[in-house]
Amino acid sequence: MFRPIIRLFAFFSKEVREIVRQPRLILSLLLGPFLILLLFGVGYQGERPKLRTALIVPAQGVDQAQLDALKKSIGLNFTIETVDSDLNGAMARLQAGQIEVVEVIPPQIQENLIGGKQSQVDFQYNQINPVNEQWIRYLAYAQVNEMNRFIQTQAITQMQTDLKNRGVESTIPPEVLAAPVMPTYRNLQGTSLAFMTFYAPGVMALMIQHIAVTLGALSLVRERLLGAVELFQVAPVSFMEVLLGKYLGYTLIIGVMAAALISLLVFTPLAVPFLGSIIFFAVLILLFTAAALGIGFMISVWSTSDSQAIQLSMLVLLMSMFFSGFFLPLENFTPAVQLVGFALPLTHAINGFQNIMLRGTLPADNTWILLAIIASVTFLLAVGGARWRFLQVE
Amino acid sequence: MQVSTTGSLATRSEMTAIDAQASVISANNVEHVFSEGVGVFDLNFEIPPGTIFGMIGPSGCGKTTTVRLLTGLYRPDHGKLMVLKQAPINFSSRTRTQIGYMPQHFVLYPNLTVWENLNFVASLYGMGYLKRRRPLNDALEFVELSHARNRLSSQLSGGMQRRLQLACMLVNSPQLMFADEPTAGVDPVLRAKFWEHFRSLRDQGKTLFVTTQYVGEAAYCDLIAVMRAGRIIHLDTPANLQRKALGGEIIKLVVNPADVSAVIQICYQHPAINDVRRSNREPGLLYLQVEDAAATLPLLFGVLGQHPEITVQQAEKYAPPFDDIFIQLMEQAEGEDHV
Repeated sequence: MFRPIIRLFAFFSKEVREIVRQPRLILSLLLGPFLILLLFGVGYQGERPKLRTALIVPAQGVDQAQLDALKKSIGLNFTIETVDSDLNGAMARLQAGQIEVVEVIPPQIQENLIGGKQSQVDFQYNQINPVNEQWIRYLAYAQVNEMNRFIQTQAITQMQTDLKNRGVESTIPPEVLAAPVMPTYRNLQGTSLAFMTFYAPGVMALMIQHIAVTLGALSLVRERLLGAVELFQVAPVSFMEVLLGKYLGYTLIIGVMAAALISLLVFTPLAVPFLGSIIFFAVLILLFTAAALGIGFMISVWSTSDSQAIQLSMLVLLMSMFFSGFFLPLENFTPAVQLVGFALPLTHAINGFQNIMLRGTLPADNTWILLAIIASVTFLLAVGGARWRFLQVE
Repeated sequence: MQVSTTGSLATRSEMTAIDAQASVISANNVEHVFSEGVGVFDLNFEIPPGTIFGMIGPSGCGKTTTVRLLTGLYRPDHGKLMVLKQAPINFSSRTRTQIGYMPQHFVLYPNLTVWENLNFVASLYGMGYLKRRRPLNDALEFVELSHARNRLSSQLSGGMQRRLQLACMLVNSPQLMFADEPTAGVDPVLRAKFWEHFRSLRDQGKTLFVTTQYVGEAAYCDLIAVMRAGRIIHLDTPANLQRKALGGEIIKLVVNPADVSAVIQICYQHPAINDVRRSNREPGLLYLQVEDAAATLPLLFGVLGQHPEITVQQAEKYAPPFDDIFIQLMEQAEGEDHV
């Protein structure tokens, strides 16, 4: 009656002992994610790229007050490196990669306006990074809007002065006439979190998934390369017992590691908040680990060497970074590609970790359901695959 | 060819009696062929309980394939194979607990200690935590590894690793054991110890199926199957194999070198002596081929006693090394192939 349990615990204790015997591995598994987050927290400067800009003003010069106003509005979005009329020199520096943007202010903006013509502010850049290009265009648009508002305010002030001289008085301030609608902002959370804090649950989830996938992926393939599978096939042990024992062992190790990692994140100067329920968080980690281990075991069943297993684990890592919402929002992808994201445990874990840790709320029902489905399906596929692969009698 | 419990050649009626006794292993025209056309063919043998069955042959002759067929790792393409009254591919969990297996290579875990590895294997066989301590200690003592119980298996020498593997095969006290080249790469002293262990297990009533490349180890077995190119070319007791290889038994006779010619003349004329060979290395050494050495020796002493000028320095039944017997058997098989 107890024999299946004894066999199951054989693998459980074997896996735990084997990992515990490798202190460097534990250290790297634990300190690795912590140091990555620390580095990220210390070194990350925000999402918006710093765009070094050469401002080219008309050769005939600009009124100092106007120039100051211009520099002030441009400086909100761009880092002004030089202000002069040397377009050729600026273009050479742009080509050489010394600056990112050349902004050319057209001459006679006011005259053109009076003449009923639009003036063009020319932005030149030398980018292959599509995200940076989007930023430059967006910031240029915002900056030109700001310039237009400034010019409109000036024009309205001028018109109101002229009208006043003719006895017509306006009570509406020129700024209101130039921009009748203004945005206001309110974050229900109070203030948004620091980048490092926001990404901390995601990094932790990513690391947990990667560790689980790698441990699982190497596990069976190593047993096979060692020749131990032959021993299991002759002994009265089923592959269900082998896998369940390994699941238990790895889950315990990952659970302890996750607890240590959380402590490092919460109780060190990183001070990542933990607002939610520890019990639900533990259940979520359990489910997430089972799902990630399932993917690892599936890799292990299909791999013929440990290098292949590592390679496939790295592919899962890469796929997770792209399609889990870790960096790029999942909504940015087509519905078909979003399905790939939903099939990854990390997608749901990031969501769940952020909800519990940073918002203090429970993850959506979908998170639990989808993680449970991934864990169950991968477990069944791994057991079936292992039986088919290892118990197949030649 | 089939062999009786006592190792002598069995007649067909005796064979039926052996079947009735329920052999531990029974192979009947078993064949397993790999895609390249190599494999094992026409395997026929019965192994009675309490026997050391040795399978001897050069590398790649099909020994490991046979072990894998017998342990259920391979399925026979043809023929009938029964081990402990069950087809190996359908072994029940209960039958598996009665089988011990020592694979050809070290398959235990380098990051676990000797004791932990043993413990792991005991758990695989479902041995209770409280009941296993004694058998584990016994197994360690049996292979003389008690002093190294807390040492990581990665820190063991090759010989110690083989001993640990042997201990792992013994932890569940199996009735039937398969040891695939247990002495490969092991020094001669340790090899002798292994065979001492095997004989001790046999004396306890266990059955052992052992493969080896070391021909000399055949002498330790009760039954020997000589394999060549996937087929069993000879299956018999060591004594019978020796007869087959040498055409009878051998008497080693040492006389004064000056008397050698006279002795050869006398021996050739004696009806109990089939052949006489002279040693090239020792001038006074002769090998006499006879049907029955024990019966011929007194006759020989009687004949030579009639010649007082001849001094017999030594006369005894001679057991040639199994390497010589094996080479002889292989050459005979090759000769038959050519015919």
